[in-house]
Amino acid sequence: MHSDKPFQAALELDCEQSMTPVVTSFVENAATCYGLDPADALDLTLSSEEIFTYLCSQCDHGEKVRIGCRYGAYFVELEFQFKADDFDLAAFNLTATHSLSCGEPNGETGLLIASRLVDRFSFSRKGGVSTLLMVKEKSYPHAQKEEAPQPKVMGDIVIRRPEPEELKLFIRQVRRYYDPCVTPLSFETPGKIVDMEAFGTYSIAIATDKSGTTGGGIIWTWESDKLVEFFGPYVLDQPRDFNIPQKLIEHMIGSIARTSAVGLITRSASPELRTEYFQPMGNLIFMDLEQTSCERSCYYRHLQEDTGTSVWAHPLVKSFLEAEYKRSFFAREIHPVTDEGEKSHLKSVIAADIVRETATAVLRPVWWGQDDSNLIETYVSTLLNERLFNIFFEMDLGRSWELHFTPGLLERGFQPRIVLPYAGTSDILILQYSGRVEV
Amino acid sequence: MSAWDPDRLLPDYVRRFEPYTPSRPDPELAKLYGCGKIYRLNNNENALGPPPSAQEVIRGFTPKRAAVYPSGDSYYLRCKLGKKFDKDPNQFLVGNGANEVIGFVIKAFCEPGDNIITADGTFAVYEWTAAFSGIETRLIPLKELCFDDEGMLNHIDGRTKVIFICNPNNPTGTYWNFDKLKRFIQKVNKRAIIVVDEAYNEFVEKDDYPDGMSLIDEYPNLVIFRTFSKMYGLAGLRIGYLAGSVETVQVIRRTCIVYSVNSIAQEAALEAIDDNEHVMKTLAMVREGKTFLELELQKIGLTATSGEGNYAMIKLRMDDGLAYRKLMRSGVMVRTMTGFRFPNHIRVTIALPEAMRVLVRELENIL
Repeated sequence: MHSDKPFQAALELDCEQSMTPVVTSFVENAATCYGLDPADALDLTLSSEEIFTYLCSQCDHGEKVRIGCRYGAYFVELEFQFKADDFDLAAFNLTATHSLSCGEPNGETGLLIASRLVDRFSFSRKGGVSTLLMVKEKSYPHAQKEEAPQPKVMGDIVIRRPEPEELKLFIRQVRRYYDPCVTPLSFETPGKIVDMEAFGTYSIAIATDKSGTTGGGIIWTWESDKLVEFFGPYVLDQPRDFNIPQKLIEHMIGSIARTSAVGLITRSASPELRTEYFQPMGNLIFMDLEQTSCERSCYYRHLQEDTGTSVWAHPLVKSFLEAEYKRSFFAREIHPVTDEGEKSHLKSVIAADIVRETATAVLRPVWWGQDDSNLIETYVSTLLNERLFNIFFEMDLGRSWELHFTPGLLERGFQPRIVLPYAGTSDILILQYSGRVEV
Repeated sequence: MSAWDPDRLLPDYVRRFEPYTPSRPDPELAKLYGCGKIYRLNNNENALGPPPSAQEVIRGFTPKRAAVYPSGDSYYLRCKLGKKFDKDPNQFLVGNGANEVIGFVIKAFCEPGDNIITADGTFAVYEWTAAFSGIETRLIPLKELCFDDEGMLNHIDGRTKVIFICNPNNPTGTYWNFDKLKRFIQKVNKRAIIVVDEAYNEFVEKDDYPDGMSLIDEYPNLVIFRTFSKMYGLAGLRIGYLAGSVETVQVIRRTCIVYSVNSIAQEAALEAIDDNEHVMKTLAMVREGKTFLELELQKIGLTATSGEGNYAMIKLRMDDGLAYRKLMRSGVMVRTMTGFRFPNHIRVTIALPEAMRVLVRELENIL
């Protein structure tokens, strides 16, 4: 998502059903102006209608909602912002209370329908304000594998940003030499990568020589303001003594070394990865839309000196955390969270960030309540039905209340996988759903 | 409608800037990492401490004097510097550490749209100060670990206001000799202010190393930075200064924060600057430490870059952040070099023999 960038168009209006045509015409016109084809613009419009209808059914007379529209070279993003206090946050649990295939959808399923019409959907809450983000991407032609020519052996190597045509050629060559497991899914559509690079979603460096031969490359993207994820390095049939992977990795690290990035991670390491620049952080299992699974090793590099910090831990994950911190040499004071009979809320709220292209859903706690275990179960079932097979749950170990989700998560088939240092208010613990996948 | 969000009030260049997180105090680190003693090899401090005469001043500072403001412009210290370097006291500006005078220079000469030029692999504060002031930094890659004069000259344009050269360079220890510096200043030809940061000047024993102070009368756009934090062991008191032509320093004075340098720092610096014996002892410690380190690192298959200065940069076969954390378990505190754009390198201060021995032993353990 790109919520740090300004809106190109925005609308603030009363949350009244009669205003729906204003919303839909604003969204449809903006989406079309920003380059979505008519079908994609319609999807985004319908999605906004579902959201607005739902907000109208929940809010008091006179409440305002702000709708912002951002344009990126390859997407249009819509943001709905509204005061959280006036809404039943539990409704933002992206779980279907009845089947979508039969009968009229009720208000709660409207959000689920909205999420199905877009490529990315997320809900978050900060300082009493709730934000719903939806991203619809442009459509691009897919590349053919046989298009890529055989690379030549290079002369003196320079690491630099590629020109658009060089980039497309590089992507086709990578597709020829590498398993799709170790490339971003967007590599299917080289034109999209060019737009993503131009917009700044991806940063790309290639190893090239004076004759213009490209011998390799690396790609990185900001997951958040603290975490950078990378793909590669990729080497296109070049002698090992050129040290292309090392040069690409050092170039990437140098580019982000004095930024806000705290960590650098790859969840799809290529065979050329120089592991001496990283430390292993465990494995994740990814499944594509055809349910073919692939286990990927994660490698991490902390970009700053560890100043040490405190984290909260539920007793059920304490030993996992202790082992991880010992293995990675991070200095942590671990404080236990306990349940000592104090009053708790009845209902939980979980936000979902859905990326359909990678069949992935990342769940994050918004509110903890006694129904957490049932809610998690419903979430899992809904997401699997939506063919979102890769389900992660991220807990911020700096927020003690989030740890109360631990027993419910473990009970419903989640397993702790990776700890990302300082990725939230403190460290982030990522759990992955490892239960049965039956669709 | 919307929650309190201070970010919305910030200029974009401040919003994008990530605050620097300093290390926690030693006792906290010792507790977190479970080590008994901390060997501070991360900040290029002088392991011998301040010169004895400065220590005497610090001991003699009566608590009651803490209620009285210091000299707002470090009057006596500027007079002393004038005498020592045969300059007008108005050619000096004293700051709360050399870091503060970097800010004075950038604030005085730059506005958004302007740029500064420096190297990619050098002291980070020039770049940081420019970044949170909305000024573009043009980073010229080091050439054979040294500032690239031609590369820097090629990047000067009409909006270039300040060129920062760290001489000797932290962390590589390389330096420009007298001829190279003079040639560079002539080629810049008053198009921009040239800052030569000589924080480690007192550690250099090479004959062709230029004393920037001797050039400021000839070149009015030349500004020299020096500090009492390194050789003179006053890092905890925060005191450094700049020197330049009277007209340039008068301009910089407009953005200088007065009263920022405390009384103990001013008085300790007055004493420290004359203590040549302390300088000789420190140089001997650094020479001995470098010789030891080079030999011992060779034995464990590591290489070090140690030119001038009281530090050495060691290339590892592992992530420097991981090495930092592993070494901290044994109380050895080093500086990771990722932030200096030397991934998988650490920089260590050349200190007393015991610390050097522990460093080598622990490096061997973590490899």
